[in-house]
Amino acid sequence: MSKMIEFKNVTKKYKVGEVEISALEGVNFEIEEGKFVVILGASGAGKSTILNILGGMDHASTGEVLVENKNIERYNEKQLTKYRREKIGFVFQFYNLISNLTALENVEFAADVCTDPFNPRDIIDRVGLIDRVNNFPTQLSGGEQQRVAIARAIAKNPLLLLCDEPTGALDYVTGKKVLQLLEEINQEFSKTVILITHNSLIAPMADVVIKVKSGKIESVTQNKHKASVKELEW
Amino acid sequence: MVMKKLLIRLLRDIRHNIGQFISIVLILAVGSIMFGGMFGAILGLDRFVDNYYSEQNLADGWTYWKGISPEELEELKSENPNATLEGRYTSELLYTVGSNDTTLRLHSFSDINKPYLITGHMPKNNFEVILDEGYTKANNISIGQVLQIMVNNKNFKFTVTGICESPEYAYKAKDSTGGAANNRNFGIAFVTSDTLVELIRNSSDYNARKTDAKEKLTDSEGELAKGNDTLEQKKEDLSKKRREVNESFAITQKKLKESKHTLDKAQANLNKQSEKLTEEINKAQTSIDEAKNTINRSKTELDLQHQQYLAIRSFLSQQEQISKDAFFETQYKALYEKNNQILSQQKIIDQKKSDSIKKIAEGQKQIDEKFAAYQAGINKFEKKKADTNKKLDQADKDFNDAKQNYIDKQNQFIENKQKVEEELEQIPTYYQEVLVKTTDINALKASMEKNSKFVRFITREENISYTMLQNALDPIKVVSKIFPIIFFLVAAIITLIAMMKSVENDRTQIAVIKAIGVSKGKIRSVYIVYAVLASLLGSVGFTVIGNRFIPKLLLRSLTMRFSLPTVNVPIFFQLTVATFLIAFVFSVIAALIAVERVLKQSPAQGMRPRPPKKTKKILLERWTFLWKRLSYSTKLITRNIFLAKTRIILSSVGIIGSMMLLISGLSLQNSVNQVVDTTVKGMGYDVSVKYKDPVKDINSLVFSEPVDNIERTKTFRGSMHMNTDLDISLQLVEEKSKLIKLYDIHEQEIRFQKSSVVIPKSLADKYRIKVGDKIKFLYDKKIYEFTVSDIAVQYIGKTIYTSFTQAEFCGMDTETTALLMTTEKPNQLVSSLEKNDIVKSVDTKDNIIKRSKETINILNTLIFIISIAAGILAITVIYNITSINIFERTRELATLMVLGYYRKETEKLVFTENLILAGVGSVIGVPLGIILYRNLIQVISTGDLILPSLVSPLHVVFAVFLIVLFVVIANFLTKGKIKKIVMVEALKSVE
Repeated sequence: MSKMIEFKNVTKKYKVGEVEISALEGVNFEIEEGKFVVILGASGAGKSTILNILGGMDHASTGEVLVENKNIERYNEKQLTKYRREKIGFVFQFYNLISNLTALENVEFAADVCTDPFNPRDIIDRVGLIDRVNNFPTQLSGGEQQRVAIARAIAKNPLLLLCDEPTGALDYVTGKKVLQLLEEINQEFSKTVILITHNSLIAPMADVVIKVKSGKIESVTQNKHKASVKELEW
Repeated sequence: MVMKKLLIRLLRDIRHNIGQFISIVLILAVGSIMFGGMFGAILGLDRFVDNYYSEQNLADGWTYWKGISPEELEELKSENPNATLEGRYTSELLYTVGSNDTTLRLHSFSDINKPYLITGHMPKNNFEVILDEGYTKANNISIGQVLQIMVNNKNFKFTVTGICESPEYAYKAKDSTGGAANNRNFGIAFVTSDTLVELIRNSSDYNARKTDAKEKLTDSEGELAKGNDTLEQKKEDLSKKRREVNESFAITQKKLKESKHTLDKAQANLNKQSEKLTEEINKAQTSIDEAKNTINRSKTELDLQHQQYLAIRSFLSQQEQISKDAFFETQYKALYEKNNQILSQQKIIDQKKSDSIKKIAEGQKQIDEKFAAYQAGINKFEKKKADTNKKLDQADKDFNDAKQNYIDKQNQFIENKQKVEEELEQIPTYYQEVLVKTTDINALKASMEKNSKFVRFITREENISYTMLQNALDPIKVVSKIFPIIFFLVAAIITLIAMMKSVENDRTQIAVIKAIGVSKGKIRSVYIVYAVLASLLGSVGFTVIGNRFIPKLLLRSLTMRFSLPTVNVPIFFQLTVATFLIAFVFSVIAALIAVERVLKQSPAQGMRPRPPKKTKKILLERWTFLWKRLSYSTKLITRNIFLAKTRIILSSVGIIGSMMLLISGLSLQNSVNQVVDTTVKGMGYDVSVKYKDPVKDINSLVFSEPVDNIERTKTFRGSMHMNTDLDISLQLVEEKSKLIKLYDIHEQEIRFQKSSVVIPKSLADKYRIKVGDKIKFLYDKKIYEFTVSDIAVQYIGKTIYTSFTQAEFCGMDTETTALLMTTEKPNQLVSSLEKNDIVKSVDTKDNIIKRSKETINILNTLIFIISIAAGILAITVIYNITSINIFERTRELATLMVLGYYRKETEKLVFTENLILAGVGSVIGVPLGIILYRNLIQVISTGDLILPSLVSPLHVVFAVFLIVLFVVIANFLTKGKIKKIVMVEALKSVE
């Protein structure tokens, strides 16, 4: 299992007006391929920042971010976009589906973009929404929308699957279903999944738990016996 | 307190969404600039010109006279108490600046047509002068300079005391035929009346006239003297004759006397003879008488005896009877024999008597005859003498009469001579021109026409300077009224959209504020404040800017062509207020509508995300065949368009408006260019010359350059005699003319023939005149009838063309002073002609075209402004709408970016929509633009300028290209917004 991701002394500072906010201060960690990683932390701790930097949506102020041994911090905009295009699948808290496209189209849309996608229909089927392919997002429930979002993310056959509080807007049952899906994908497709949450009760399902506090890595824990989602209660 | 916080929030919000605020302000600003600029132009220019005219007291009419004296003018004034009449002196002098011969037209100062003093001061003394600005600038003349001008070999010095402009020469023309006059060669000057009178007195014209008159007087005097000599001669002749006659009479008299004398002598002789004879005869007679007496006595005795016998006879015997009878018989016989003797003696005497009587009578007769002859001779002589004397007397009388006549004539002549000489002296003070201010031109005209010295009345409308300026302003006025309104409408709509979006974005916040317990009223008032701020900023300053700069721009093209004092187009306070009010009303209404939508919801509803709009399948999707084949981006774009109808429509409005403006503007320019091109095409000549006197023999003219074609032409300014009289010119053209070219509606050249009568299409259309119809041309109180042979396309002016032959046939005076010619070197020809004394004015084709172009340039400036404005409008509208669009789709766009969409692809999604809008907007905008354009043409076309309606496909394509360009620019400007989307932020928030 090789080092897929490496954060080396990454800092992130924002300037809001006259105030300088330090989101990350000297973050260092490594993630191996195929692992299910959960990044834990309170609101404002800096976990989203890490994900955003990793997902090529934001730049670190200092430090290196190596993905497959390439420093994405050196990437220019075009390279970053390519990186996002081909290597990253993102799942948001609020789904962010294209409202004027059907479920299938949303997935197809994403699949179109990359070089070696999965078959959209198959993926939709995989997330259990084959009956709702022709529905618009407004016609789907929250869970269904999220599942479509996941399908969209996976269809790209990305290197990394980044999930930012994917269950944040969902109820317990639906949320669990979504997590289950992610678990399956991690195991079926051997995709590296990195999931952000403030809910520590989810942590057991991960291979690695990275705790972030006030912009610093508090701890990196390997779960020797990870739990399956079914077993989780919160 | 609450309000204060709300306002602070408002201000912060504005700062935060400064782009949004600025775009609203900007759109209002563009509208305000246009509004303020154009209406400012209309009001300002109009007012300026009107003020200029009224302050400088521009005449209502210019009247020309054969020279009326100041006294006659006073009479005229008293006949027309309701009008103001003022006489003015004018003189044109040649002033040479360097090598350039310029003409200076001097006018005396008058209350009517006052010159406007720009710098310096008005002349106080004679031979001080103020000059027009254009001329002084072109010839580098400054105040204080002394101009030396030769008038009839006498040198005059004029001191320049000031620089001015004259309202009646706003458009510099030498005369009402619009002869060429440029600032360098033609200047207007004002001097005191006395100066002009003296100049006139010294002018060669006047002096020539004086010399002429004096010569004529001297000639007359000579003639009179000659006459006198003749008379004297005649007198001498008469006396001589009388003497001769008397002499001959004397001779004749003498002869007659001699004759008489002879006659008298003869008569005397005859008388003597007669006497003698008479004596003899008488003697004889006497003796006979004696004898007779004796016999008679005897007879008587015998008779007595006889008687006695007879008495007693019967008593006697027969014998006695017989004897006595016999006795008596014998006695009686004897008596009878004696008697017979006496009788025969008597006979002899009688015979002698009669013979002598005869003889005497004959002699007398002869004498009488001679005497009669003599008498006749005398009579004849007397008669002749009487007659001759009578004749001579008559001759004398005639002579005396003649002499008296002559004397009378001489006296009269002396009297007249004095009068003439007096008048001659006064002539320089006579007015050739009388300026007129009146409200009733017709009445004044009628009154003047009664005067024998009246020549002509030219009204403002006939004054080329006045009409040129009016014609230049008219199109500006028309266009300036229409375009700003369009601008403002579009601006208003955009403001509405922008405000709605602005408020909509605030929806949650408003809900929260409501939840806190702030009243709806207070919330509304905050947005009203927003509207006030936007409209204030967007209107006030910009209206002023527009008001200040756009009229100035328009004016610059105006002042290039016209001589006007520097205009200060005033800032019209009303415009600023009006613009602000309009902007305010629109933005407030917009804000309130938008706010209302949000306020309607309960706070709770407001704080929840807006339920997403229902997405459904659009119509196009039914065509699965086509739909399947479309890419997702295309599907996305298509759905976006069909599902967001309102936004699409509103965006289109901006583009449509812009397109309409562009099409109108470009087509207008096309029309304008067509007008110039057609005018150029119609002019086959290089040079046009006007001579001072009619040209009798073209072949006798000599030119400095070889001239290829010369043709005569003549223009009559009259009117078409129809239900109403329409002012029109009749121009005479030579047959088969190469220099004046006319084209019919199929753009074919009309071959000009003897019988050609060509009328302009505008006239034919307006009065439904066809080929073959008869038209009546009224000129100089006579009506001439013509039969229309062709209809020509004509944009400038209204002119009927016919041949010289035709005009002669109708009895018009075809002698002309105007010639047209072609030459290789027009400029050289022109300069040599200008120096020629017999030439009145010269013009080149280039100059005429330049002038037409300059006049039209104002329109071009206007079109340019409009095109720029259309561009700004289009860009601003699209920028604004796109910004809103991007803002609304931030989430979506961010998602795409996260998905890995290259920025270009993301941009394509947004901008393709814009391009489609541009396409659709163009398609709708083109026909609307054409309609607007056609209406504009109709309105702009004045009597003298008709713009052809030409929509060139090329222009349409260009307009579409421009719109696409504007969209591309707008897209370019909004790119930044997409770039700015911070994915992280966008995807995080609820809304």
